[in-house]
Amino acid sequence: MESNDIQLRVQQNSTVAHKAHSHSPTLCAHCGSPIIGKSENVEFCCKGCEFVFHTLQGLGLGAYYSLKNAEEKTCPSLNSSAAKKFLYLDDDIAKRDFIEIISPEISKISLYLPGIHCAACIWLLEKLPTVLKGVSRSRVQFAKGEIEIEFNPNIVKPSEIAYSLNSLGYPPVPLSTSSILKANRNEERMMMMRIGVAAFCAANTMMLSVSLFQGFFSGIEEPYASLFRWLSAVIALPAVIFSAYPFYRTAVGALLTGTLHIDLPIAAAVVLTYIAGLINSANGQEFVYFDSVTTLIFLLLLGRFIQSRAISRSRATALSPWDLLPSTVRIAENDKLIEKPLRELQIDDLVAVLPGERIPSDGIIIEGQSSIDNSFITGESLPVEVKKDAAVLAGAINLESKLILKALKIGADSRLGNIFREIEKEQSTRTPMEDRANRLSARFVLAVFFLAAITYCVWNFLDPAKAFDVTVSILIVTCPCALSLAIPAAATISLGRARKRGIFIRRANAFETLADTQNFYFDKTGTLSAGRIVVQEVIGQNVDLLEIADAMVSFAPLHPIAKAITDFCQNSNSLTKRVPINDCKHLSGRGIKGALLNGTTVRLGSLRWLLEEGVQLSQLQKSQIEKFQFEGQSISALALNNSVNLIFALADQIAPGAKGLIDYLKAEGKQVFILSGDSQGAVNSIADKLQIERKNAKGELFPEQKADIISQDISHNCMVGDGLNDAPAMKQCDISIGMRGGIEATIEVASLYISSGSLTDLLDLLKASKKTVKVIRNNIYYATVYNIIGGALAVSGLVNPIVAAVLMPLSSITIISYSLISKTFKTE
Amino acid sequence: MSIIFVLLPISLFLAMLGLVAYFWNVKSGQFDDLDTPAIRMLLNDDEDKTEKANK
Repeated sequence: MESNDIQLRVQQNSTVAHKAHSHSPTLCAHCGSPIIGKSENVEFCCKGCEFVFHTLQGLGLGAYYSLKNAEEKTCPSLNSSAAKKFLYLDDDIAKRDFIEIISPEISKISLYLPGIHCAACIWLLEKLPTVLKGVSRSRVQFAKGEIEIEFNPNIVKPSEIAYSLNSLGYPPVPLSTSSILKANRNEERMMMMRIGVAAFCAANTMMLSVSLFQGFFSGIEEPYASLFRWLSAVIALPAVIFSAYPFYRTAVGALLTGTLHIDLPIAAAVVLTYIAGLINSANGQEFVYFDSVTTLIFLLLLGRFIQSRAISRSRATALSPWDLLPSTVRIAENDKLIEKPLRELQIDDLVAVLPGERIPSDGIIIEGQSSIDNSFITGESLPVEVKKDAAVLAGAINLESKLILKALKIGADSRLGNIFREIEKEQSTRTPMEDRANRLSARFVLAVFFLAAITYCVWNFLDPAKAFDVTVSILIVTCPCALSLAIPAAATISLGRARKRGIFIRRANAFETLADTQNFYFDKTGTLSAGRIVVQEVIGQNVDLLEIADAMVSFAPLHPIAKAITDFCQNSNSLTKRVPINDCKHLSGRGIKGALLNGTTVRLGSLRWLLEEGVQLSQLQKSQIEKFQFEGQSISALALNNSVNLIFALADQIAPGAKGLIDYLKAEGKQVFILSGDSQGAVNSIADKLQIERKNAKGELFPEQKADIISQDISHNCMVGDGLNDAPAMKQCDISIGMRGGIEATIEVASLYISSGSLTDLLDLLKASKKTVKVIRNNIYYATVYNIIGGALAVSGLVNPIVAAVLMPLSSITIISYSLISKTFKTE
Repeated sequence: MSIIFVLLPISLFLAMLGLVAYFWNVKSGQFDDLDTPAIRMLLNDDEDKTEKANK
């Protein structure tokens, strides 16, 4: 299993580049991505796909491919860590947090699978009982991306379930079984019941009202009219008391805190109209308003419910630094290595870290030389060479050879722990961006109340008998229904459209906030850039030299630079044979040394090491290399004997769509910044290519410094990032966007995330936000105009309740239709 | 016209039955997930066909 896992990681990382350089028409049998490389009989783009494909075929689940939409690219984001990663699920603590015990034979676990995206996923995941012995039932909740699994704990362990899901290509996150979640579910059900009651009351009072309206025109005997009125009053009562309860709750809350909320006028309208109806019934007046009240309650509740369903809520549990580190460490004691759980690691322990493993604690290297990948913690795109006495951070990946390090800071005290503390910190004292539209409607409706009060006084003076009727008709005709639908209608429709494109939004007012955002901060590695080193330029390229380089890099399969060179050689499509290299040695942090069959010494590695070895550079090569280094590129070179023959300049590649996005933001008059943990040279190089001012492109920042910069910016701001190192900064923003729904989505930092990770989708989202805000404004404008006209007619006593009853739903329908036909997202 | 005094309670009673049924559905969790069943239904159909073909 171990070797398989390493292969998986190696190959998985190369898929991004493969896609980018695609020329070949062959498609991967699993994920449908184009396959690169000319070798025969290749069916897969990566080992990850191949593994999942064979797993599925082996289990007799090949039908997955016939269900799947061929266009969809679903390269599995296979989690590299072995089965051990999930062992913590078998702990007693985890059992308490994640597993619900139904009977001695049946336990239940809920897992969040970010990978669920299509019908074939549901089919596959619900086949789990046929695949894994002991699992009795598995149900997918498609919209939430969750799976609920019932299993027999005596036969199968939770960690085995998690591992099976992982090897099917769905890395799971366990969901806690806490009571808050159950409370949420019950609240949602309660809301559905309130809507049901409102619908029942509205339909039945409407039926009686129709009879009354009919009677108004053609005559109705008083006993029947009176019966209908009182019956309506009784039927409407459950809606007014039970269904409208949420409005009263928020209205009272708003009164107590002295704030203006749209629920305040709604609650008042409901109560006042109902009382007016009662008074009219008692006085034997023709018009009661019970149908209007109940319909208002029903429509408002329905709108809110649909909106709350459209917002993505992941109930994933917060991660802790421990979850991201290996679960066991090898501690050196008395010249022996003892494997222990990570939690038993003590300060000053000596720990052995093998290539491909994450470093378990902050510490210094006692023995060994290697290069490590810090991108997870700092966002640096290039690996860092480390040797004895160098400090390393928990969470970094050891790339080349075994390291022995002394643990200095463990768990919560480590850098990683500090980043988590930053994330958990309360947001700085930034006032949340106000819902302008909501505030506007609330003010408008309050104005209506003043108007009604004044009208009542005036009519009381002119014609006391009609005063009450006129006042009520004002309240009915200017009902807040259209106004309070103005925002939810537009926002909900955009939320649904966003979701179809894989953009998951956690906040209802995300569109308005995005449209108002002035300063956009971008992470570099993995956001504006692909987050993977690729060969940018080659000097001295010829087939023979590339063949030598290709043969040599195969000795350092984990090293990102070696991978980049492998990709480049494979893509050049000119290699014909494999050159044998004798005595090939991989010198950690330096390079690879060997000899050709004719005795020529070949070295491929860092420039510094080559110079140390006495290799000569020509004047021309020196100036070329200086130019590359100025641009923040990393240099590797191939030397035959003592002269450099082939120079590779490597750097992170700009993500597709980045230029278009930045140009759009600049055209909109927004400020664009880069906050990166990478070297200033690399940041400048990206900034220049994207035409971002260098003063706005800051490199060499720690995650905490990124957060400081954002918290000091008083304008409305947005952080776009993809990794843990951006999470503290994202927490400080008005709105934050996670790319690919990585770790920050799981720990609920990002306000929204773009699952494709594509900047083109982000651009569409920004354009859609602008349009959505426009639709909202038009909705409010329309509702206001309607209310002013209707209000004016009512004030002058010209509106009878039948006209009001027709106008009210008409205005709501207009707003919903307008929101539906407005194109917010670009059509595909 | 006095028949209305009989018809009204009957119609309301029938409507109440519908409401009670709805409450029951909500409580049993039938509306908790509205997206998956629509897809699952199609998948089950497919499976049945293959089983019949095998027989």
